[in-house]
Amino acid sequence: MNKDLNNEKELLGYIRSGDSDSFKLLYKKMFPVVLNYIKQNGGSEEQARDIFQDAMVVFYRKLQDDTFELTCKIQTFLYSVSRNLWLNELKSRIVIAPQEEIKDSSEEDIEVEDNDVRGRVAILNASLQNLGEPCATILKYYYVENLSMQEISKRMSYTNAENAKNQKYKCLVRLKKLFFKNASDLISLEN
Amino acid sequence: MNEKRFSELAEKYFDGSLSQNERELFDLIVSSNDEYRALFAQYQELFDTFTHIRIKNSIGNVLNETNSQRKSIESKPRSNQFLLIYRQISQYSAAAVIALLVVVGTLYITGYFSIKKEQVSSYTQLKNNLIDISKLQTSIINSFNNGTRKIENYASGTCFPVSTNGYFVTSLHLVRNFENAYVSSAKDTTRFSARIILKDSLHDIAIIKVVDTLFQSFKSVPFIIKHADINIGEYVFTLGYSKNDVVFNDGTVSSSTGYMDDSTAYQLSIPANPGNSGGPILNNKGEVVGILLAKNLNSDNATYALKSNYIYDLVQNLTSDTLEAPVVVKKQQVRSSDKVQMIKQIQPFIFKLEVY
Repeated sequence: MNKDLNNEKELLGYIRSGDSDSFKLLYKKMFPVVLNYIKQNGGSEEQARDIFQDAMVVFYRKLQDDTFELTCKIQTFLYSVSRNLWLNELKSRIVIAPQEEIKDSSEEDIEVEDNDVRGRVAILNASLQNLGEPCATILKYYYVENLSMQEISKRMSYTNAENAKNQKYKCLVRLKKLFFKNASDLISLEN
Repeated sequence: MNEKRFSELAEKYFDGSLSQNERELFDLIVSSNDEYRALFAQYQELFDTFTHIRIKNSIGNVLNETNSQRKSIESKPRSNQFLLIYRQISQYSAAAVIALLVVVGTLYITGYFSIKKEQVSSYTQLKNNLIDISKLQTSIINSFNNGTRKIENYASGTCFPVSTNGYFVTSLHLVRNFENAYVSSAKDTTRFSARIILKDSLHDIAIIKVVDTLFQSFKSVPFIIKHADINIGEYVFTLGYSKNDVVFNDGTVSSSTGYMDDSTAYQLSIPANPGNSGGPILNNKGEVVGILLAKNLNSDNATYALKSNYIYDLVQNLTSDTLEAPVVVKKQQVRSSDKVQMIKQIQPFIFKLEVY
C-alpha cells in the first residue's frame, strides 16, 4: 500500500475517508504552526492541542459535505479555523484576555463558519453534568460512544433495549431543555 | 406526531438513515409548521454538537496512538478508525457514507418498451435503470419526484392480494409516478386495471384495488399477513416477476434491521432482481412476513424487506377507511409441509404489476 500523503489532493481523499495515518500526518506537519500562534496569544500547549483537534474535526466534517470545495491549502484552512476558534475562546473569556495585541502572522484569511462549536461543546458538557445520572451516561454511551441500545441496556442493567430507548428519549428531552436554557443564559450574560 | 416520534425521525434524518420517501415526508412535515421547524433546529444543533465530540474523541485516540505505537505503524495495515463512526456523522456525511460503503437500488423494471423497440439486450438495460443512491440524496429525491416521470413511461414489479375482492399491496415507489396500473398473472394474459387506494409514504407501500369489471373475486387467498416479527436465521422465500414468468428465490433473514439500521425492515439473503419490487416475503409456513423494498448493489447478498407489521397496519386502516370493505384474508390456507406443493398453491396469487 503506497500512500503519497505529500500529494495534497491524495491526502485530502485520505482525510475524507477517515484514514488514521493521514490525521497523524496532519498533526505532525501542521500543528507546530498553530501551537506557535496560540502560544504567542496567551494559550498553553494543551489548549493549542485541543483547539487544533477541534479544527481537524471541523475540517473532516466539511470534507464530508459534497458541496464543500477547498479553495486554499490544507495548512491554511486548518490554521484559519484554529485561529478563529482561539479568538472566539478569548472573546468568551474576558478575564483571560491576551496581554498584548493579537499577533497574526497569517497572510491569507479564510472565512470558516464553525458555529461556535467549542462554545456549544462546553454548554453540552455542562448540561450533561447538570442532568445527572443515569441520563448523562446513557446519552454519552449512545451519542458519543456510539453503543447500540442493546449494549447500553446490558451495561446499565435495563430489562431490555426498548426500556433503555425510552429512558434515552426522556433524557434527551431534558438535555435539550437544559442545553438551550444554558445557551440563552450565556448569551444574556454576554449582553 | 408526538415529540418522541418526532425526535426519532429527526435523529434518523440527521444520521442519514431515513429512506428518501421518509426524508421527503419529514421535510414536508417540518416545513409545514413553525413549531416543528424550531424543534427540528434544536435537535439538529444537539446532534451536531454530539457528533463533533464523538469525532474529536476518535481523532484524539488516533493521535494518542502516535505517541505510544509509533514503531508499529509501518507494519500495521491502515487502521480506518473513522469508518466506525460513519454511522451517525451528519446529514452531509450521510450522503458520502452511502457513496462510500453501500449502494441500494430499488427493484422495479423500467423502460421495457424502449428495449423491445430497439431490440437491445434487456439485461444491460435493466441494470442501467437501477436507481443508484451513490449520487447525492437530493438527486434521488429529484429522480423520484421529477426525473422518473419525465424519463420513464413504464415500470413493472410485483404485487399480491390482501383480500379476496381485489385489494393488492405493492411498493409505493413503483406506482407513485404513474397514472395507469395493470395487474396480471403469469397464467393468464388478461390485464386488469387497478387504482391506488392507500399510500404509506413512510414505509414505501401502497394498496391498489383492481377496478376492472372482468376481475372475479378469489374464492380464497392462501396466505395471511403475519402480525409479528420473525427471527434472524429463519427461512424465507419470495416469488416475483423479474421476468415475464414468476421467479422463485429463497434465503434467510440475516438481520432484524434493514439498510443503515432501519428498524422497520429486515435484511435478507435473498437474490433479488429488478421486477421483484413489491413482491411478498414468505416464511416456511407460507405466511407473508414482509415485502421486498430494495437491494444493496454493493453487497452480493443483502436485500431489504419491510416488516409485515406495516402491511398489516395499512390493511387495518383500509378496512376503516374505505366504503367497500375489502374482505381481508384472515385464515392461513396453505398448510402443506412440502415446499414445492406450498409454492404451487401460492404462485397463482402472485401478480405482475405494470404501470404507465
